Amino acid sequence: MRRSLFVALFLALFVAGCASLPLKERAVRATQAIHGLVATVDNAEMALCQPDPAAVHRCTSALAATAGLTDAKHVELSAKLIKAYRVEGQLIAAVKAWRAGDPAPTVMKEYLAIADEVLSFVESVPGLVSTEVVKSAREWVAAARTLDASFGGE
Amino acid sequence: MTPAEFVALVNGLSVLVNVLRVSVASVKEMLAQAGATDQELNAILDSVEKDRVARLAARENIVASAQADGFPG
Repeated sequence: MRRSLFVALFLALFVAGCASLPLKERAVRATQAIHGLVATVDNAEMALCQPDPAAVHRCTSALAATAGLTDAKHVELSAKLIKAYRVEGQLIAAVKAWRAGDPAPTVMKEYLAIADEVLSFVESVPGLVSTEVVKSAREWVAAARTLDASFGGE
Repeated sequence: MTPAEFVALVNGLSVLVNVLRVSVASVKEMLAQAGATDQELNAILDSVEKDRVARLAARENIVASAQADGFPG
């Protein structure tokens, strides 16, 4: 009797685990994708700025000046990306612990807010609008919304 | 066993082997489509986390450098 119950419980857990795997995988892949996109924003801004290795808050590229990416803007964007990366750390931990059927991690809203803040900031620099910085920031925000929706299991 | 029966037996075995081969391939495909294991998913997140930490440090260096140079904030 006890053995039958154990087997039934094992099977129930196994089936539940298998059923939840695709949703969990979708959330993990989406987390990987949004990190790839914020990394693209990061790389694109660094490529445009070409920071001085001896004073990394200073941009050396002539293109940065043309785009309106001043040293102050470079530092301000860095401060916003620091916030984004810190919240992303909490999001990664939450996604790791998340299981299908759980509500979306509460940190998700905070992550969406900081992604929106970064997008608004880079869009406010007219010279950046046609660059990879803004393009990838827009994709990042869209991907973050997709991740948020994926927690609902839709 | 007559030659005809022997040929029929060989043909039957050949069909059985093919059925088994297709079944094994189907099971392999089903397993592949079942998705990544928890361990594989954790490895993906660990890799993302590693890159996040490196990028965070790089951006913190920029802000620290600015503050050392008298930038506000």
